[in-house]
Amino acid sequence: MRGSIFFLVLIAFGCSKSKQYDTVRIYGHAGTGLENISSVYHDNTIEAVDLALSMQGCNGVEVDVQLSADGDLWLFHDAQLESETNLSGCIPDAFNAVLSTGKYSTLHQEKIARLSDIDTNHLQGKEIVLDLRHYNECDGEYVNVAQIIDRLVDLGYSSPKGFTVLVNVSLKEWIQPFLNAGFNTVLSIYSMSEFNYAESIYPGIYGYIMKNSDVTEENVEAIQQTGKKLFIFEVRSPKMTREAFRKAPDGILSDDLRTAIIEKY
Amino acid sequence: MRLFLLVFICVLSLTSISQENIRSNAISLRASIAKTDYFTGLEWVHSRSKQFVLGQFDIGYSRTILQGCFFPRVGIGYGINLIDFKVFHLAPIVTTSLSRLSTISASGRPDYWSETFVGYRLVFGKKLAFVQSSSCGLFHEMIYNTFSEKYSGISSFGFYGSIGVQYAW
Repeated sequence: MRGSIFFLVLIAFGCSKSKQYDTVRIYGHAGTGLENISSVYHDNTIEAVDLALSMQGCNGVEVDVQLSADGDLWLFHDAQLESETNLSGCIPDAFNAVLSTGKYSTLHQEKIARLSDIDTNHLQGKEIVLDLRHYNECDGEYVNVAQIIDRLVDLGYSSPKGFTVLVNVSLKEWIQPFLNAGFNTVLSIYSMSEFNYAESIYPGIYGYIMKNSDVTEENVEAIQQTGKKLFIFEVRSPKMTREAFRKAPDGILSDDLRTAIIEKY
Repeated sequence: MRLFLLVFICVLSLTSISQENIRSNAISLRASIAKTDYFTGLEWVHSRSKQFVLGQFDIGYSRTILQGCFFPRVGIGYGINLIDFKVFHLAPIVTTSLSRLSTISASGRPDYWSETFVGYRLVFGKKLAFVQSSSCGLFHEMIYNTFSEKYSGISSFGFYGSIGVQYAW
């Protein structure tokens, strides 16, 4: 009888997970995931970032960063505020006084957060990937890169203490200014020809970010052989998570952190 | 809330009056979708006249099963067959359940979820029947926080839907 109970308990609560992906780091995409139905908090909120960083096995977070009209850095994914908040317009046109009244239209009504709201004590030993938005969709103009760099330097992100900052850009013209300012600069690319082009012009680049569906295991190997890091995003379902891990990149930006952690550990 | 409780108690009392004291049992095999995972499992139902209690045991599989890790969910519930024909029964139900997910196998602390849901349960058939149920409500997560080194709770909206086949006796 005791043996049967023990066996049942073992079946119900036992785990024998394989450890195959020790070198792959796990980052919470926009906190605990973007467009994730099981996520408690909205993406790019302090609540989501804190929750992700507090989770066992999470190596860091990725956040989307936009420059406001008076030069502060705010965490927001979409181009237009009205898509998900009580505000309207674009962040590059909005002032801090207005943005600080912004809330997401969700159950928890989380506030729109500034980059400076992230508690750097929670980042100790971890990494933060800053996805910097370069385009203002409302007026059709590019954002001032020098202002972003100045603000990041003000916040101490150019020489972080106890954590690592990766700056993710998708506009090639932004690579050199960030490299000159000493940032670990990561470029978003969609093909290997883009990788070859970037490598020939910006040899100092730290790494690349690619969509899970755009990259193969061979591509990952080819990029890593040049000494560059590769990160994969659009990692949502368990199947996609497994696929991404099998490609053995340096990191995955997971939209379902728990699934990624389960798969790795 | 008070009004809801009053109506609930009234319905409960009315359905209990002048009912034949017929007892029956049923077990169903079901597939479910919830906020956290897909599940397969068993549901046992014990009926007394129009009222019934149920017990559920499910295993979540989409995230854990390939890693040899189980994601169990146990629940209990209560319902009343408001529409109670020979081959068709529809009942509002109240359920509460607890799930446990171990994200890190070796030294990690598991996460827990409790769900307190209201919904309906629909049965079509006699001895062998088709069962469908849906519910939604309070979804409460208990997550181990590595900064504070203790569990913290977060509440949000959750849902649960299932289909299955039932055998009654």
